[in-house]
Amino acid sequence: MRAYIVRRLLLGVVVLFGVTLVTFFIARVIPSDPAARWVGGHPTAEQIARARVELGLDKPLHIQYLRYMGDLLRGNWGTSIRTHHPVLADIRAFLPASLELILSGILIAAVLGVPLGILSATRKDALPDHGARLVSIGAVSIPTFWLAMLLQLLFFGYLGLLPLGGRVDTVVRLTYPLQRITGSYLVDSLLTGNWPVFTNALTHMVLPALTMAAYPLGLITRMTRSSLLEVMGEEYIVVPRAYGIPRSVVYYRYALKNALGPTITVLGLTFAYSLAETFLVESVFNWPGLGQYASQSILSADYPAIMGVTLVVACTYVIVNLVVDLILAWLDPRIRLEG
Amino acid sequence: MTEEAARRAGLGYAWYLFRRNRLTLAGSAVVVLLVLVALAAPWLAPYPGDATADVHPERALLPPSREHLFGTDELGRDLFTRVLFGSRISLTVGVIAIGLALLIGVPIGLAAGFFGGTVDEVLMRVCDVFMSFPPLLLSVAICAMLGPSLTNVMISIGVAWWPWYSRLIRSQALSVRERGFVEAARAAGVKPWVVIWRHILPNTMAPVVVQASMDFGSVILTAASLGFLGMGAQPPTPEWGLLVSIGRTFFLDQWWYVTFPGLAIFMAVLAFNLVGDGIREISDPRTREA
Repeated sequence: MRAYIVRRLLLGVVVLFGVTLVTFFIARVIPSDPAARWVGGHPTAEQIARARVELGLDKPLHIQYLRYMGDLLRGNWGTSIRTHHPVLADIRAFLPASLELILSGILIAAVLGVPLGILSATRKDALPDHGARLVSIGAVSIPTFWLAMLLQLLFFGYLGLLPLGGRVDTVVRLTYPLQRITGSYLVDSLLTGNWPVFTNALTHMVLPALTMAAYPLGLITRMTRSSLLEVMGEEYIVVPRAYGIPRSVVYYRYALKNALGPTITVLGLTFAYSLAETFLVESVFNWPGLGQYASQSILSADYPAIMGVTLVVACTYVIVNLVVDLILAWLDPRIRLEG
Repeated sequence: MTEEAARRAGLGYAWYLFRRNRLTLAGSAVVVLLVLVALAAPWLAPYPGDATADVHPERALLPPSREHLFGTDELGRDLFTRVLFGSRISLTVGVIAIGLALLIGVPIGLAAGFFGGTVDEVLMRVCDVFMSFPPLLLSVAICAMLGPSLTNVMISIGVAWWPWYSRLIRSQALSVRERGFVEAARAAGVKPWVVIWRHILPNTMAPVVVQASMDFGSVILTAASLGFLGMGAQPPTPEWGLLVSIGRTFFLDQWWYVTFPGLAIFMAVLAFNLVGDGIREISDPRTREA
């Protein structure tokens, strides 16, 4: 097990290193004039010259990369053109809101998707299976930004049941100030017993979380179905069935346990996808998270901010994958023994 | 049975499985329809001039009616026409972006699978790195740096997508490499790149073509998402993602503005994904027979 962990960690470091190489290339090598991009707006010749020295663009590429790495490691990720704050500080401020949204979405997706996948696999080629397949394929096919607006149109425009966007109403926020502990409004208001904020934040959460749940729901349903179907033919499922042990016991006790591995892998994968989805969803719901920060940065050509978010999301993905692999190795001895 | 007959029977069986699945069949019908619409858009569209920069202030933001099936936009252009013409953009972007991904991914996968050893190790780590970015994110980053345009959307998607094809073709090449005819060719002194081109490539393409067709839906969706973020086509191009993005300003009062272009994206992506899923079911005996 230890050898496996060490090998996996080393590989993770190599990939992280590669990720910085890619972002370095996108930020400094692809653009025809990276210095002008970095300054933003309509820079004067003097500003460009200064940026060129600052970014080390007069030096050879490998020296430039070493400086880029050094800056990243020291926490100097550049200054946002739009907000004039250090990019890293901005990311730290906006990330919790996004994480709250992503985790809620994945939670909804898992709660709905696993049973739907089981239903689909146990009633293969019957009506429930076709229904579940349509739902799972539909969920990964629907443009999330469009789904977001349809939900707004229905629940805000026509029914008037839920708020249009934002995390909490301004009135509520001002009347019941929330102490920041984790950065998640739901968790913080629960911890401090701030009920007005909790209920208000919850109503704001419903539509964005449902939108975010669509893509993971599709993947989880499909993965649960296919891995269950694969397990169904195994002897440890066929034999108890032949002995007359009830279906439900066999499916839930024996089959599901062995089929969940791929589903956990997909959960890790959807986390990264969801991070990118926030670019689309948060701007529609005016949700002040990393995605809205990114999409506004895109509109105002705020390159340091865009590259900062890209780097954070890619690193998060590598780390989540690493954690998922370690969990799987811990759950399934076959993996760690093979490696 | 001759080899040809056996192959035909296999294809016949695959066609039978494909046909048996109504969802897949419906998806293929929509795909065919979509291609026809894209080809015939100039003749099908009631107001072909509205596909670009025509302006008719007197009929701005009209709700759907018999004259304007999908309503009109803020400049009085017929949305039905614009959505029809949008199909051309989405399909073109899909084909070129996937073509570009294949152009990058296939040679790299072949090299990794054929030469093995250090070459393989290095190339696969490069793949790992690119696969650490969600495709949408990498496309956004590249597009942001290149500047917003349809061409850059295609380039950025191609760059984000290639590692999946490299992985696939590498695993194919690894097994083909061990076959007798490759060994014979190498023993006869045929140069490596000729072996790769003549013997390995043709025998690895089938699964890659299948995979590429299954990816079509996701690529169209990614392109539309980039359009929505304002990084793709610019007005007055009737790109679907861009239409939804512009319609956002009006959607609470003029529901049709975002609804129809969005529905077009959804239907197109859904159709391609249904077909892709059908192909997957057929090609994977484990889910087929269980």
